[in-house]
Amino acid sequence: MTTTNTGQGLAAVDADAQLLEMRPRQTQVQKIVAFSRTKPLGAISAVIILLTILAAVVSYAVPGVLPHDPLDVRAHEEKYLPPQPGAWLGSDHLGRDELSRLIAGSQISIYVGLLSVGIGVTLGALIGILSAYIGGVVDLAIQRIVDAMMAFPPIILALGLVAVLGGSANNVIMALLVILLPGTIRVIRSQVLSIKELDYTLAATAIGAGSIRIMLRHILPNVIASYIVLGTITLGFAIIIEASLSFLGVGVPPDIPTWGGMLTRGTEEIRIAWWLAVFPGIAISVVVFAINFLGDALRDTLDPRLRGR
Amino acid sequence: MRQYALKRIALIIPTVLLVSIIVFTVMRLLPGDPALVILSEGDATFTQEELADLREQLGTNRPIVVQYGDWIYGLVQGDLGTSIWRSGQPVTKLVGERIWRTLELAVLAIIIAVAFAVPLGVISAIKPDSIIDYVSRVITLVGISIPTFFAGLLVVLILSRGFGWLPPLGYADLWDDPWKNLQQMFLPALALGFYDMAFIARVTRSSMMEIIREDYMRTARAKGLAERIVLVRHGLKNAVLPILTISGWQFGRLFGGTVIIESIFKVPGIGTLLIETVFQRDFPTIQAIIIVIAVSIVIINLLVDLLYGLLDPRIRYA
Repeated sequence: MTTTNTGQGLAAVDADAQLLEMRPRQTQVQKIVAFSRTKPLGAISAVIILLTILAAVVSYAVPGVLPHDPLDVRAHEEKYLPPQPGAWLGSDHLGRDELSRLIAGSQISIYVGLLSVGIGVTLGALIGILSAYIGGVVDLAIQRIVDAMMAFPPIILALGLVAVLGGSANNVIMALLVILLPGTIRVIRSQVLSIKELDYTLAATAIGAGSIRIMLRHILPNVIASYIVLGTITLGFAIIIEASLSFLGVGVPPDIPTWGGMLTRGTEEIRIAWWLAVFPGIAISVVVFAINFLGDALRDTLDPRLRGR
Repeated sequence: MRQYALKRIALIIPTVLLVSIIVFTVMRLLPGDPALVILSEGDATFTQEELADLREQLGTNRPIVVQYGDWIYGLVQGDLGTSIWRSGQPVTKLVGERIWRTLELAVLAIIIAVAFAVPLGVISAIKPDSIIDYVSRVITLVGISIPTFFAGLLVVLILSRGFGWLPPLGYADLWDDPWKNLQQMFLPALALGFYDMAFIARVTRSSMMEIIREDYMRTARAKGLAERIVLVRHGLKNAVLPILTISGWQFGRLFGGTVIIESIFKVPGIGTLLIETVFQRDFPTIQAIIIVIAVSIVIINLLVDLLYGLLDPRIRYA
């Protein structure tokens, strides 16, 4: 009797497994298609961001694709050439090609943005997980430091750090790390605090799983969504801070074309040549706008709990 | 209320102390030897004697704890050290001359932001999906995405090229020539407040939308009160709390924004002083400016908290 019962039970489980296998599983491509249907603006933004990254990488790897050498002062016969065929975005005070400089300028924005956010958000997430998981005095100490760090306006802290470290792309990344850490730690910590109390974490503790196993297998996968969203949102912020530092002339050395640096020159000459300020300004705004839109769309899709932050 | 205020005031002491340690760590420990950094800039050559002199002048030849203690001791007494760049000038004087202009700029920006944002947000909330609502949502979305410096440039470009309007040249202080000063400060304040206007309008819209559905609004209307009174006395009065918190919070951000706006509009405030000293590697002054700004933000946050407690009894007794 019992055997039959078990047999039936097993059959039922088998049927369930079969049903599960029959359920259509979304491939990555299908997921992307679904995302573009529900969030068209997010999808367009993603395309803009990917194109910008592509432009930065390709123009760095193969400088020949640029219409002119961005540093060549003889790119155009005339200085302050207004936008026209052949000089699509005009020329600057030395006769350099504005379009080539704009594309070359994306390299610094993308390099500094991706690297600082990649390292900063990863490090912040790890510290956030540890802070919440360990708790007690460690958590208290880390949180008080985070509190104090948040009293500094980011650009002012960045200026201080760049003053101390000196102006270079890598030092701007260092400054950005210091700025990005507190916010990331704060958000991830608050998520881990609630995950820590959920049944599956308690169950893992009950069957004797070690701290590291719980953090890696049970907590980490559950903060991945927030991690991706935070990474996207802070990327826009990092690009603005880099552009601001270059704009103020203290970031990347002035001989390297950057959007912020181009804007500085453009500001001085705004009454003679409006295009020198407007195009780099639009480039920064569009990229940051796209990043914010994508961040919002990803947040709604991946992690509705973050809404309103 | 008194207990709440005392508790909040007591809490800022450890925060300020930590802030000072962070500033000190960043400005004194990170560069290793500030004297060496200053002297070895570019291809400059220097003698051991010059190095020792500068260390003596900066006080970096003493133990680090003594340096920190000295700095804090001076700070409490209002002494921020001496500037290297403007040799011998007390930093307190340098900062003191300029901080008022920055404060004026920030206050003007907040006033402009709130003056535009609150009506925009309220109209948007009471007429959702109307043309005004759509326009205001587009403006606010653009406002929070445009970087401060580009907003500044656009303001200059539109007003100078489009309308031929230019502010008078040569900076005038508020108390010397109020009219000229306000004309000069209007553009930078507008550019600075643009982001905050967008942000506050969004907050006003969402908090008004929640309030409109509340029972007391229906009751007020049922009593036969005029729509204007219902909206202002019953609606806006309750929406003002989140608006106030956000405005106070934005004030801190404004200090960061002033650095950029002051340099575009050539306002001789604390932001331009910071940029100048960063170029000159005047570490004592940079350190002083950063601590002054950070402490100001901590104090503004405290004031907002206290005001919040004063306006909303639920906070005080929580």
